[in-house]
Amino acid sequence: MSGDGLVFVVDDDVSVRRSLGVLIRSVGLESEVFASAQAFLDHPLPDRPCCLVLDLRLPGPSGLDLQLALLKRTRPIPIVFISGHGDVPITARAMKGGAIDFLSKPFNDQDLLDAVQRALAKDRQARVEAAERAVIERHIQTLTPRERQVMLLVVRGLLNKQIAGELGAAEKTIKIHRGRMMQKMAAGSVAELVRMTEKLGLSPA
Amino acid sequence: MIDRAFGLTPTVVVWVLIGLAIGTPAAADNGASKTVLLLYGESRLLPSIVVADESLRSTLTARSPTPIHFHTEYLESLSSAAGPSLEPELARLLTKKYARAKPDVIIAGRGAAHFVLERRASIFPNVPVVLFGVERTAKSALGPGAVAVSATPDWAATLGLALRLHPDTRRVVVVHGAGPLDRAWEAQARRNLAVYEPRIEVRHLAGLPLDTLLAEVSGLPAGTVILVGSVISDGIGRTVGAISAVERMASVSARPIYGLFEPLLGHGIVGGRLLTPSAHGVKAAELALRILSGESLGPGDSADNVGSAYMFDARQLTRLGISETALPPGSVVRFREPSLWKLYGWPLVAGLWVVAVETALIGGLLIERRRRHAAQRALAARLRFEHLLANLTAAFASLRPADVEATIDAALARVVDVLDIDRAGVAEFAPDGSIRFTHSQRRPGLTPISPSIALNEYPWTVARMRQGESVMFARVDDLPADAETDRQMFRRVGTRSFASVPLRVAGTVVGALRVASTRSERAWSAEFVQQLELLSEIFGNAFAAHRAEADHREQENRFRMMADAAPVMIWMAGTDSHHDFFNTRWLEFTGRPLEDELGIGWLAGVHPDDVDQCLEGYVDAFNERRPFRVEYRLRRHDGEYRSILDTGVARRTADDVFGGYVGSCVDVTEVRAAHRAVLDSSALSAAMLESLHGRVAALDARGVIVAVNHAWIDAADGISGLARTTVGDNYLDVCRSAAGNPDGHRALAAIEDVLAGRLASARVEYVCPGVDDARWFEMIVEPLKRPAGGVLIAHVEITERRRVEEEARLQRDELARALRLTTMGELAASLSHEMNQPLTAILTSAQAARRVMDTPDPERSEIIRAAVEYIIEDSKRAAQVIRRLRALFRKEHAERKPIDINELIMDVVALVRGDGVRRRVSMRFELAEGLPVVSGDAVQLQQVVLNLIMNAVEATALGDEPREVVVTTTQVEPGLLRLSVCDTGIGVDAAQLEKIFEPFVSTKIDGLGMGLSISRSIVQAHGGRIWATHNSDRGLTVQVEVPCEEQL
Repeated sequence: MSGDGLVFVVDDDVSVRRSLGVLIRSVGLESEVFASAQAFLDHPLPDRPCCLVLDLRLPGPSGLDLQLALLKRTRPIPIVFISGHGDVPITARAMKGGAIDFLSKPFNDQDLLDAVQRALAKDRQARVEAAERAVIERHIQTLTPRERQVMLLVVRGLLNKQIAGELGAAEKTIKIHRGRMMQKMAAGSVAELVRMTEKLGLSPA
Repeated sequence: MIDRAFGLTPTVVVWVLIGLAIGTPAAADNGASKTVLLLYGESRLLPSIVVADESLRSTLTARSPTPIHFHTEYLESLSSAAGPSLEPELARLLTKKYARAKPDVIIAGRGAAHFVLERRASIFPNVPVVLFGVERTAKSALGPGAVAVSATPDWAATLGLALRLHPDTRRVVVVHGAGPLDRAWEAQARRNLAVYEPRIEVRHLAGLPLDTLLAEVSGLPAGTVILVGSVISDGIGRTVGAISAVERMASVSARPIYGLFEPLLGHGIVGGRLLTPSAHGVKAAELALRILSGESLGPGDSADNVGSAYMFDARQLTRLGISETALPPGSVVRFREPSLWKLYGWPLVAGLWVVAVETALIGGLLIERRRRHAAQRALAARLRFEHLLANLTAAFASLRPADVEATIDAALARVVDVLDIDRAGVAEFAPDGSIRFTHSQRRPGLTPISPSIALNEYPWTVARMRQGESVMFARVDDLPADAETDRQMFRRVGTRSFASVPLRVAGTVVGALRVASTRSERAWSAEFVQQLELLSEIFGNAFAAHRAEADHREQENRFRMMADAAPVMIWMAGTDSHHDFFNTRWLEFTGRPLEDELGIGWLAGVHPDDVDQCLEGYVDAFNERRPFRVEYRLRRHDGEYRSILDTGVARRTADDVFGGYVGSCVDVTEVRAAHRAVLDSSALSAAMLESLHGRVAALDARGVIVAVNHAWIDAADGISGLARTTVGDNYLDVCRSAAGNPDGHRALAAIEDVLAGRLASARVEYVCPGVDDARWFEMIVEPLKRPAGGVLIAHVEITERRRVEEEARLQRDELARALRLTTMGELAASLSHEMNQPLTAILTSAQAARRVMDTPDPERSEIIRAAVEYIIEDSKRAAQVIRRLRALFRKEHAERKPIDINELIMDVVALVRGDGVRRRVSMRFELAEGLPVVSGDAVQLQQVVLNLIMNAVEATALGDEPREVVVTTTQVEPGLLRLSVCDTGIGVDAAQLEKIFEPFVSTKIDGLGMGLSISRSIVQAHGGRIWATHNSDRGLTVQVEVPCEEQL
């Protein structure tokens, strides 16, 4: 079991809260429990893979309210919903908001732990991708404006000649820009460059 | 009825009522001619009605631009004194009659006024109404759009006038009839004339039978004035009319009569301030014309005091010697005699000649004047005596027994005067030989003589008188020598001449009439003695009457004493049929003084409905002098009418002369009531049998039908398959013969059981296949409580009853089920959450433990320990939920225990907190610490708290943020706790606030409306109260106050 995962639990019922804590600990995961949505929001997220086990009905802001609030943050945290009153419309809303799973109380321990693992995996993945995006971003930051223009045209599949025509520059000059750009981006091929821009959401279209 | 509505005001009014409707359809559309309906409640022969009607019609006809059709209705029965009111019938008749031919205006007289006012809205809607002849009343009582034209009968002015014209008046007699309208006038008169009472005697003769009235009037002495009011009917219900009354009174009395109505003028009244019905008619017609022309009139158009004037009859003025110059200015004098000249002309001239010739003759005869003078004086004396004789004879002939004494005294006084003597007296022989002067008169200034003479005082004179001889002497000295004692006695009393003639009654000498002269000696002429004897004869007769009267009176007194002691009520009537005696028992019974009962006064105590029948029986028997027996209700002193059986027989004197009636009365109320009860009960049984809807039959002890009602006979469908039966059939046999019919057997068994006394009563329900549906019947068997035994059986259809009962039961079950489901559903929702949480926790903890059990995890034992601890705690929590739930449902009714209200609230909240969370409603508790305990049923109070909190949570869940329910407990005063549940929910509107505690009133879409109703019952059962108020911002606060222990 990967010991780096942290599981947050938000449930107003103390019994449920602490039993979840002991269950999570039983698989070697770390847990932190909160009695209300607000208490969780006030707590800073650590820089490590984590997920949230969230009771749907809470006094004050509900589980769904908390989900909405978290989505607005730069770093979304995967959520596993638990509820004593599972009903379809709320389940649908929760899943639409990106919930990993929706479990009715009382739930099977394996179902919950599987969901937690999936959530942690997703968060880990998200953390890797975020790190990759950060490297690419850093490379892009080093490009001159002309090199950035050339890059966007290269990933659209244009030839040097066409790029020169597009930018109103000599083909030779473009060739020099292109070489420097590929070097700065640490891209071995055009295909690799295209993958990088796609990760940043810079559409070639 | 009319009396009550109008009778208490002093004004006679011609009311003109105009309905609001201007230009009613009839009036607007029918331009060609108008219809006027005249309504009179009085007799059409009543003079004022005749006159007013005439002037009304002529005025309307003459002045209307369009032709007028008149309809006239005389509603005479309205003023009928006795019998049930015919008003409703009349109203229906008129409604029908004038439904199509709607009149344009209605003009109604005094007697119809009340009827029209009461009923015009229903009979003649929107038709303007003109009333006249009613007394004044508030204009508001007339309804909107009404006009009044009134005139005042001026009682005071008329009497004041009479007193001026007859300054020596000491008494006024005011005559009234007995009808309702007459009574109204009487009341006015009594009030208006009261001001004269200190000056003169005011006597009201009201409601007498005409004959009695005339007898009263005929005996009125000089110095009396008669004032005639309204005399429509007399005391025995006969229609009289003031004109007829005045004519009759004028014929029996010379006293001046004054009236108040113009039509009386010329019929015997002197005059008065008279109302002129013709003027009323004209005024009413004028207003009606304005209505007909489309004008809108209202109460403000009233015209008061119309049509009255001082009017007089010249012939009466002449008769009474009243000068026209004494009359008030502007008086109208009618019936002036033409002047002598105009009347007789030439015959008068001839008469004057005769007078002249006679004068000449008289002059010649004066020569013989002296000679004839003495003769004339003698003649005059004789004439005076003749006159005296005639007067005395008349006086004694028409003598009433009571007046004998006074009349003899008066006669003797006249004898003294006419015969010019000093003493006159009537002497009576006493049994002991002495003489009593029963009556004596003397010339003024003389001393009275001793009323009796001892035996030894005038022995000679008395001896002769006793022998029936006349005794007389011109001088005392003329008495013979053996009358020396007498002589001295005469001298002593101053008698100078004396004459005595015997007084005989029925041939027997009983006394003497004696005269004496004390001033001078007087020689008694033969003629004088003769006159004295004549007078003696007259006095003798009077004396006889006097004696008879005295005997009679003694007899009467004896009788009355006896009568007063008698245990029955006794009355006596004279030959004139008027009662002149009532015994004490009668007076005690009626509680009225004798004076009120005398004559026909006693009739006033007879029940109005019985007067006619009572009088008829009495008068008929009286006229035929036969015994009679009448029964009538008589008012007892306490106001209760008692049934009286009155038995009367004619009284006869010893010589078989009719002497009136004597009657005895017994109270038979109880007897009659008992009799009626017997009659009623048998009639009642029959009626009851008939009125029963069921098919009822009475069976005798053998089961034979002895009586059936119509429903039984009409039962064509043959209930329960039994053959149709009727009186004479044996019902048991019929039941037996219904072979194979189980109902027949059950019926048979039931009847036999009741007949045999094995059952007190029996009921058998059975079903009959009907055309559409099965019909249910019930046969009821009740024993007949009588010596001969038997039963009463009734077949009653109960299909409807069964259907209703079935429906009611289904509804009740449905309701109960729904209520149960709702309560259970609500509880289940709350409960599942409450149980789910610990169960989830237990499961999770257990699974965690199992998970680490076989791993080499270093924290293994710690994790397992924690998990097990949690499992134990959460299991306890779950168990507590279960325990509370059981407490909630435990049936511990009316078990009063000390309860900590806060604890109770928290127990309940533990059950519903999850529900609040689920609905995203937060709960806050502001519970005062150390509250005294409440004595009550914990389970019931938990229900109340549960109800209030759940209601609050539900209402709040539907509202906006913040959603909060606050539960507060406080002690408002020593001995009183308050629990408030305040929500921020949707609330209810003000109208609902009052109702939410009623059963089946709910503000929830799916609510049953039972919760708060039950809560209220519980709180009230704990001596508390529950109410709801609006919060200032939003939501409701429901508050409960319950008594608690005094001390903290």
